[in-house]
Amino acid sequence: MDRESQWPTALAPPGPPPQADLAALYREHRVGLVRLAVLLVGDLETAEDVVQDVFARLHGRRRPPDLTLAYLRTCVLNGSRSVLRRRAVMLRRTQRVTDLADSAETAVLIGESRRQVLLALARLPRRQREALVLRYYLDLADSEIALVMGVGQSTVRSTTARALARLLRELGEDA
Amino acid sequence: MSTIEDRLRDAMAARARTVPDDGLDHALPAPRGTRTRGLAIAAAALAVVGTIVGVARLAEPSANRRDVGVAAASASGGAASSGMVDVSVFLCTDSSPFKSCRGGEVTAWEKENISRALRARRDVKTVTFEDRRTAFENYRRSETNPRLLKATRAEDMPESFRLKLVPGADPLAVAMAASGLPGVSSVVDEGCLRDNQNRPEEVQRQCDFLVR
Repeated sequence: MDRESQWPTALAPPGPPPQADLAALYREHRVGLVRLAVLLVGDLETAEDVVQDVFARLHGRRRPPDLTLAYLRTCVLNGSRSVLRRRAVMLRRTQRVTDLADSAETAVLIGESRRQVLLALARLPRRQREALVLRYYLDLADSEIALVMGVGQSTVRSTTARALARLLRELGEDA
Repeated sequence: MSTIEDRLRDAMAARARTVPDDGLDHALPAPRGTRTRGLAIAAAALAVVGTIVGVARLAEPSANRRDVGVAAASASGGAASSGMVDVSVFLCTDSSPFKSCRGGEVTAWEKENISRALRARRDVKTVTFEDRRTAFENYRRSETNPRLLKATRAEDMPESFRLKLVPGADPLAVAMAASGLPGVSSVVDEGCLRDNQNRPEEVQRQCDFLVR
């Protein structure tokens, strides 16, 4: 199930040259990737860890010949999944997600209505959440989402539709 | 009311904006697998706290349900058998980030001297030496951060003397005296830490005596 090794390099959009400087990529994309991760995992500290970890793994042999932003995003998705899985194991018997794993400060900054949306997002199944974040935060096209998530385009469309329907249901209740 | 899609866009953008772009030149993370000195030191420093909190959690049945898993995981062995420690005296390792440890790792002579000084005190009931292996096992039971666990080895753990005091003794006096001995990196008032275990870190920090 190692998606990184199956990465279809032929499909990857043109990116930096093969010998792209990892440090330059890190400088350029760190904040953007942390923001992506924060929407997936819910808190800044974990999001930063996920991105650090992605780059720490990219040294040396395991790096694909052309390191693209799409590839980095896939890595962030994978890293966030591992974190959420570990967290789920820890919390499974104790509690359901009832709040953002987040500081009170951030909550105030964001406002109640948005917080409700983010909360509902956090409660979605993993793939649905990923599809929504890639579509509505990064504004990626179906083909790009399919590439980053490693699924077919039709799956992206159906997943997104189901996710939206479910969000609407959840948010409709307390409206 | 806007559509669900607009609400999503807006909420996500707002959340993303809370992640600051500090404009700093962040260093590229080191390759995985090669241990960085910094992480090891951080892990060892945290390990000290981890051990203590582990003991504290065991000592009192926790009201916080989330702690139960951790406490249960460390329910046997060193942490449990060490019982209620009143004061912990940590010794310098060659990577201790404390001022008093500039001379490097505690020497055999210093260790002997510390042990003798502690045992000579009337207000100290028992003195137990905790070696690195024991400290490491306790730490492994209580630490839940997999990255720290991976980065930490037994050699990173500090040795320590665990003290129990006679009833009515003042842990502060013992801690102050111990913190003045050569080879001591820090001293922790465990009773203070137990009392404040659910308080913020800044409060808990008042329970340790860094040697200055």
